[in-house]
Amino acid sequence: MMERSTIQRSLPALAISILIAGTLFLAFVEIGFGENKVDSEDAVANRYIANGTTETGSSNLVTSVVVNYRGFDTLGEVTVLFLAATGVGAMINLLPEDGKKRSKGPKPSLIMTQGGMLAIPVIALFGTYVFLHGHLSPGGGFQGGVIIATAFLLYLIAKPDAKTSHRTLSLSESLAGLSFIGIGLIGLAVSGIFLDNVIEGFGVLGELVSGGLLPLIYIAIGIKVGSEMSGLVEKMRGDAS
Amino acid sequence: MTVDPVLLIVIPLVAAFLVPITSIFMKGLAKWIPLLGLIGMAVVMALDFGDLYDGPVTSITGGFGPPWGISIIMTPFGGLLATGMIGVALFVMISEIDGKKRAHQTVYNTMVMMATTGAVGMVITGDIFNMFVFLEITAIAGVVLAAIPRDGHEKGLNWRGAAVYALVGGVASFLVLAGIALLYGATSTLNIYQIAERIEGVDTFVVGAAFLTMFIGLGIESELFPLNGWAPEVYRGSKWGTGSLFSGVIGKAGLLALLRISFVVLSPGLENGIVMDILLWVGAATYLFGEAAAFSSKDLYRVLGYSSIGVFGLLVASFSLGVADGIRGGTMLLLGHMLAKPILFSMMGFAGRKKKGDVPLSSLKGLIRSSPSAGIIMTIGILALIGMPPSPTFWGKYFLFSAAGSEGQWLLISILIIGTLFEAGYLGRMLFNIFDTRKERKADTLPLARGIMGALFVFFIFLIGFLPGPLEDIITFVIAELIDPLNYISWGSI
Amino acid sequence: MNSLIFLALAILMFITMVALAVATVISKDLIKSAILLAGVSLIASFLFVLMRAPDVAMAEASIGSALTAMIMVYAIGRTRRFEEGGEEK
Repeated sequence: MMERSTIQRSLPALAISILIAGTLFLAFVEIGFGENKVDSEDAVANRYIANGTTETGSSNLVTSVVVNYRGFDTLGEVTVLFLAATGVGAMINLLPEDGKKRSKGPKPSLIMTQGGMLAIPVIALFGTYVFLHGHLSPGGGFQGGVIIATAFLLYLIAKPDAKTSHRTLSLSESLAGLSFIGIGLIGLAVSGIFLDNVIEGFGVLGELVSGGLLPLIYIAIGIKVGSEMSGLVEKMRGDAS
Repeated sequence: MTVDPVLLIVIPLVAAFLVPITSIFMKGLAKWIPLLGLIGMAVVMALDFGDLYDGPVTSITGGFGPPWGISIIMTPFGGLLATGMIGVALFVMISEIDGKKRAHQTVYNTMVMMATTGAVGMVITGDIFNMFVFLEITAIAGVVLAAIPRDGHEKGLNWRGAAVYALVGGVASFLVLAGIALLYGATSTLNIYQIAERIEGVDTFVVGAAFLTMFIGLGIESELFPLNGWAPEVYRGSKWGTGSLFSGVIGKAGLLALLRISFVVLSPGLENGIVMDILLWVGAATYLFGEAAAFSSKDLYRVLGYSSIGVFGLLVASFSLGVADGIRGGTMLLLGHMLAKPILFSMMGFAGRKKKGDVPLSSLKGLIRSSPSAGIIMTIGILALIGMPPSPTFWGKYFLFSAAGSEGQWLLISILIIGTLFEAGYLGRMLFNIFDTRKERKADTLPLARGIMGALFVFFIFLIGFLPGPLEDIITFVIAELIDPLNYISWGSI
Repeated sequence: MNSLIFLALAILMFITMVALAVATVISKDLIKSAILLAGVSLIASFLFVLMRAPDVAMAEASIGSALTAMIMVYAIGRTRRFEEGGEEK
């Protein structure tokens, strides 16, 4: 038997990939994004742009779509993240101990440690700002949460021997998830609609305390995503000691 | 009595978020929280089931009706399937209550519940992107389930199955997402009923590309030939419950999504009948492939896995015939498979629990003497799977054959007969081994919970087999949904 | 005038992004690949800002260029660093 080269072996796969990619490309070109395909008031996006701020009380339209119009999806996405983090954590726990020592890598330099320590509080504060102002300015719970997680990551890089509490992370994560659902259930109890933004009037558009329940949901998401991603990074790092 | 069907999703999510808290404060309790979540789902489903006889049960979320917000449209088809899925999940979880300590039980139970939640979400949601979110939930839970090894193999993980499923499932998710993007770009809406309404104005090429991506993506999830290379890797090496879930819950959700998107949404935008023809022959090929592969496999886990692949093909073929009797047959086959397959997985897992690695056919040898109850339950399961009257599968095959005959699909009928012969071959071998008592075997008692769940499913098989009548009202709605998209459109625009 | 500068900037970023992506695939050192991939995400997030999608840009910058890259590096630390034929010395 002649040994076939790598290219020959991957030819069928390459052909299928090109076929699918080509079809998708041509189809996407054909659609013409941004043009009106239906009467303009029938397109959901136009309705969101026209009425988003008045219907949801959030001056960031992305937030009004993500947390109010399509809030149920967001609950689903939070769950996806939760499952992924739980799954990865569980699989790492299930790993058989192979007895091999993992290389720790070089110690972080003075600049890394000190600079990191200076930057971490600023980054964490910025993350908190982003999720608190999700209904006013770009960003929101997801973005704020991952920014906080980057601060945590920087901490782990700057201080590789640091002890972290996985319990606290998973506790705050679960409580935040439960409060997200709890806020949704308020709607179900008051108006019979899950995740309904039931507060009257939403407050003054553009103020920090406005938008009804949306900022509360974003706070819950921010805490949840932050602790989840931090927990994931911490799990992946493994036990440093 | 009507309960908001959104609770079908909310209750298990509460349970899932409670698991980490409980495992910190009351470690022993944590692994049973998912069972409570599933029971909650079952209660909601039981309260809503009566309403399905009058049509779909609907609900909106976020305070905006369709098409602005996400709505839930539990059609009778979706409701029937969701009921079966919750039943299978309860079967899997309750069967393992036997006081034995198992490693990874908390993670396993959580993922069983979440895979079921995702699958139920996929079949009851009325929004195509929301369906994708639930597909992701199901897929991630499926990866973790595939990784968890069988009892007695706690040292190693089923990495191979998990890695293969993660990769292939990732490709599937991407393709489904691309298809959704195409449909959104072309119709400016995400509600399934509204896309169906507008599809006829969309360029045929775009609809065709959307069908291609959706077909590959959801075909991977529902194990259709030739997109099912990953399935045997998952079935071998994972727990019997994982096998039952992949064949009875995860794949079934992908199947309904594929049928709904093909027949309700995309078919009117394409050349007449082409979608049906493609699905019909892919289904027939899958049936032949699955049954032949099951016939030639030695490892029981793989036999049952391939057999499930075959049944998926049979289901797709019968739903794609495009006539009422075909859909009636498909629904019965669906129920028959959801009831019989978990029984087989459970009893086979019991009989082969001491084997390391592959479980050969011979581990069933003399089961009827060593553990009479397990032997009897498994025999009934096998007979029900092959379609002995009175079982749902019997009615399913009866309607399917008459539908294929009246359509003049003789090639399909011959494929069905060949497949059934293969099926009879391997299931007959199992039966032969169960009743082969030449060699003495140590007595072996079936754990109580496992026996009760098996007996309960046997009861349901007989119930539906003897009295298929009450289901007819629901099946009428199933036929209505798949034959004429206008029905789903009128249900969706609440 | 302004839009011309934006266009030139966008094209420049686009070329760099594709070049980085190709380099990611070619590199035999997986850690180098992870870092190059982070670069792709970083430029993608700039492009998102140019396309007036700051929400997406924020998520892309922190997830794509910080968290994913570091998770990959940790994962590589648990396995092997070099692809076949890529190890020096």
